[in-house]
Amino acid sequence: MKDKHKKLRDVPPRHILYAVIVLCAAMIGLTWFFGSANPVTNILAKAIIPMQTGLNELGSSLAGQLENLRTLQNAQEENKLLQEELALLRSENSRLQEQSYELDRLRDLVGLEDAYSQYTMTAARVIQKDSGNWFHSFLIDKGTEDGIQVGCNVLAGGAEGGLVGIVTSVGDNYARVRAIIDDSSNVGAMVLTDQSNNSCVVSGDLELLTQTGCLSLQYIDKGLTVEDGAKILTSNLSSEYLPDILIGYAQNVTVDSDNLQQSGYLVPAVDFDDLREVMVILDLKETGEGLSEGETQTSGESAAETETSQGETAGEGE
Amino acid sequence: MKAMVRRGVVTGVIILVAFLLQNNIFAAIPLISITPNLLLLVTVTFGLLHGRLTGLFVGFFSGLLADAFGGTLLGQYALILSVLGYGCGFFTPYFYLESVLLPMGVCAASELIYGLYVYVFAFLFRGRFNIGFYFMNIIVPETIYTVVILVIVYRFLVFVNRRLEESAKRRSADKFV
Repeated sequence: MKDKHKKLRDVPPRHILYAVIVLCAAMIGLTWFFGSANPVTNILAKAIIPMQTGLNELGSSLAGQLENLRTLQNAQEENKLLQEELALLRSENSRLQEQSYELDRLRDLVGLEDAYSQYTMTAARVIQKDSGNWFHSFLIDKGTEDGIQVGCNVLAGGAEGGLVGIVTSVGDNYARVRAIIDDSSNVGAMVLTDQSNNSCVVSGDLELLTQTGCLSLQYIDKGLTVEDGAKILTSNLSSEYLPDILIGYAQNVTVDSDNLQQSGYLVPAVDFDDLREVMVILDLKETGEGLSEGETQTSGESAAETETSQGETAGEGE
Repeated sequence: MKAMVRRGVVTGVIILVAFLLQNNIFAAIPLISITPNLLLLVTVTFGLLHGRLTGLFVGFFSGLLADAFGGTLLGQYALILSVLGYGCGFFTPYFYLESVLLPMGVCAASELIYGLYVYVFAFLFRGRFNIGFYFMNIIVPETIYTVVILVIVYRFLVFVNRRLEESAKRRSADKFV
């Protein structure tokens, strides 16, 4: 060991640089081929996750205070608007409740259960947002010890809940979630309508997100009329996402310049700026093939591709 | 030897603090939509202060930490940060503690290279060709932000460094007495 130290002094720095570059390249290669569930992260996580859990509360409360100051001004105006909206919604709600009873009755008849209650869920806290400004993923404080696997769908809890993202890698006490607003995210989706040709694809787009705060909504059939505010849900066709989870609302859907399909924006249902707690659905989407564990790293990309192609075919077949 | 261990520990703590600040405090504040790149800042500063090898190792470990919790591939940030840290070491001879201008310039240049690296590998390869947009909306703001933070924390890092060097000297002096 001591000999090595002496030798290290004599090695020109250039050679150490080469060694480090080769080491990094080797690690990149290894994780590229063998998936991201690496032991380094898992060991580091044991030490760092507890620190982050504490610190994050500090960060969130700090952010909360700032946010409070800012929103106080808008609050009164907003309150008025909301009161009006509330009145509208109340009347709508009672109407919908009636329909819901009817639906329950009919569902009982058909033998379908309520969509969400059949899933086992677990709540988790967001403990770290991604460093840097290019990506939108975050860590949550639960991992394999709580039954979370790669491919689990993640929702925002509460009444205004919606799809948040998908678990892309997981360790003992943490899991990494790629948000649907990430540039590389693609979700097979459908427009909530009574027409049948309703599939579409929701893609994250950093450019669009920075400019408008929206996601892109693509590959909508040309014949489908989509009004602003139409609900977009996850599709049955999706290979990764469970069906009928609210993603957001359509906006500005227009026919593409190539005159083949329609596209527009999607306003996400979830407020990604203020995400502190999420619900993780422990059930995985059953695709028939099943995700084997070796495929987990690339599952994000490959599924995104298949979903995109699904969207294309669905859109093109008029 | 003791001084080296001490320096290693202090450096490690600084890297860890930078990482936690970046990911837990800055990232949690939604009003500031762009976060500064503190790990790069630490790498650049250490590279400038101590030369190529220190820059290389600080960059490597900072990058490894960022990779472990942020990257899709282990090693992608370690690679760029160690190369940048090494590169910053070339400016050590031209560098005076009193002037913040050289660190600002080197830091800005490193940020631009870093931003382009991420853009090319994570975006360009997926067919996002609008480099002008990414440059103006992400790379440039991040660079400005990081340089501003550098000006603020630079004194602190130099101070810590000076203390470490002084204590190391005192210790070696004690030995001979």
